[in-house]
Amino acid sequence: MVYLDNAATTFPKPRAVYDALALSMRECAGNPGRGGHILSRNSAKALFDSRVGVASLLGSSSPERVAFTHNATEALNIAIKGLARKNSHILISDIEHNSVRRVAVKLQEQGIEYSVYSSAKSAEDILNSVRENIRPDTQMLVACHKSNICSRELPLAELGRLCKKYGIYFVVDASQSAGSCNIDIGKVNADAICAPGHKGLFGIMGSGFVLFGEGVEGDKIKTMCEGGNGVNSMDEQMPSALPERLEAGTLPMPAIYTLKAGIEFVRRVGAEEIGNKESVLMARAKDMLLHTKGIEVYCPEENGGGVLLFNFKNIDCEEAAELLDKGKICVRAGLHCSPLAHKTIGTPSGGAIRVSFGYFNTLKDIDCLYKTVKDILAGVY
Amino acid sequence: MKRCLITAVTNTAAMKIKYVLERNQISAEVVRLPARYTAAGCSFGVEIPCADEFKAYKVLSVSDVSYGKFIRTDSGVR
Repeated sequence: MVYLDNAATTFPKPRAVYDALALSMRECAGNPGRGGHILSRNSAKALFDSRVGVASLLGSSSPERVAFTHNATEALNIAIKGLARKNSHILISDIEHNSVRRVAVKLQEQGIEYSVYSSAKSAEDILNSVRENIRPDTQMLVACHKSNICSRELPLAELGRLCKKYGIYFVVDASQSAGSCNIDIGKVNADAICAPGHKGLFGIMGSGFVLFGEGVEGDKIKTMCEGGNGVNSMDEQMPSALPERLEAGTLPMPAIYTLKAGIEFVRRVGAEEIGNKESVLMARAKDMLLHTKGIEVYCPEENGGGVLLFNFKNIDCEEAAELLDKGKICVRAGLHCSPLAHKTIGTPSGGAIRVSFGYFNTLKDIDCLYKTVKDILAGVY
Repeated sequence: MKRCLITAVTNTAAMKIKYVLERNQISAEVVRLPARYTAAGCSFGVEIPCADEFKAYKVLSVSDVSYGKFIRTDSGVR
């Protein structure tokens, strides 16, 4: 089996992640921040160490600014809805995932309008598109760092500078870049960076996080979920201090503990090294498919990243994905929860086939993909 | 041995106090605070040897860590 669906979740995980999962079930089995007993204290320490891991990976020295969630979507909901103010305006890019787009649409019920800026061409073109769409009531800009369907990447540092100049919140969706790109929250002037734990950071499914910048005060963030968290139980309101303000209910500790192990792996190998390897694999696959009759590759001019989008010219993408599965190639077809991005790059209404590479893929995997594609074209499956 | 308690607003704040103190060679343990120290119930603090109280105060006062009161106890909370 060749796994090429790493943009959905990475597989396999580093050995240390499997070990961490087993360890978490035995030694960190208590609920952190609840009891004062040894298992709860062990969990609290593991939880705090995980916050330190996330914060330091993203250039922050404030682990208390890391709020854990169950996934990146929840993190984006917390950041965007938590910071958005009634009757304002927000900007989202034209490659946003539904985890941003649907949030923006939902916010319209509170009188919050949104506009879409272009991700096309150069950084300057993107900044110009932002400038054209910015309004006096614009309060926030959301940027998908790297698309989940193609190589497109938004220029975080430039966007951050622009947001700072206009005095608006800058929220980054790093779902496809955390772990394969170096990101520094201070250098890009972000107010919030959101990511899942189970993709490029190699944790198991079930965790995500939002890291808030130093300029964001905890009590200015509206809560999305209220409940117990072991702090000041007599108070009727959630605490104002981060991260407990945003963490109601029990956290997914095994997932968070494996995220810590995954981050340690990323730091050992190096995010840049991981990103480079994925880019090489993507370039090789693109080169092969571009020269295959009967295949259409999207955004062939774009380089970098570990995601490639293509279609068989005469086979529906969902059917083609089924055929690839018969050839033991795991890919994902359709719209990948990113209809806005698909529309932007011009795929057909049904979407396309996405292959997404991870650190553990090899050139041999690309050969298997290529052979299976050729077999499908030859009618073997 | 006399122990000293440093109150914290949250468990994470207590963990960060411990983290900063330990990096400055001060032994510290996160503990649940006795009810008499918690006006709103369920709070955490950090226990240190009273001998390190001055050093701990010096470290925390120049850090970005949020901390509450320093309380001396006869034998700690455990």
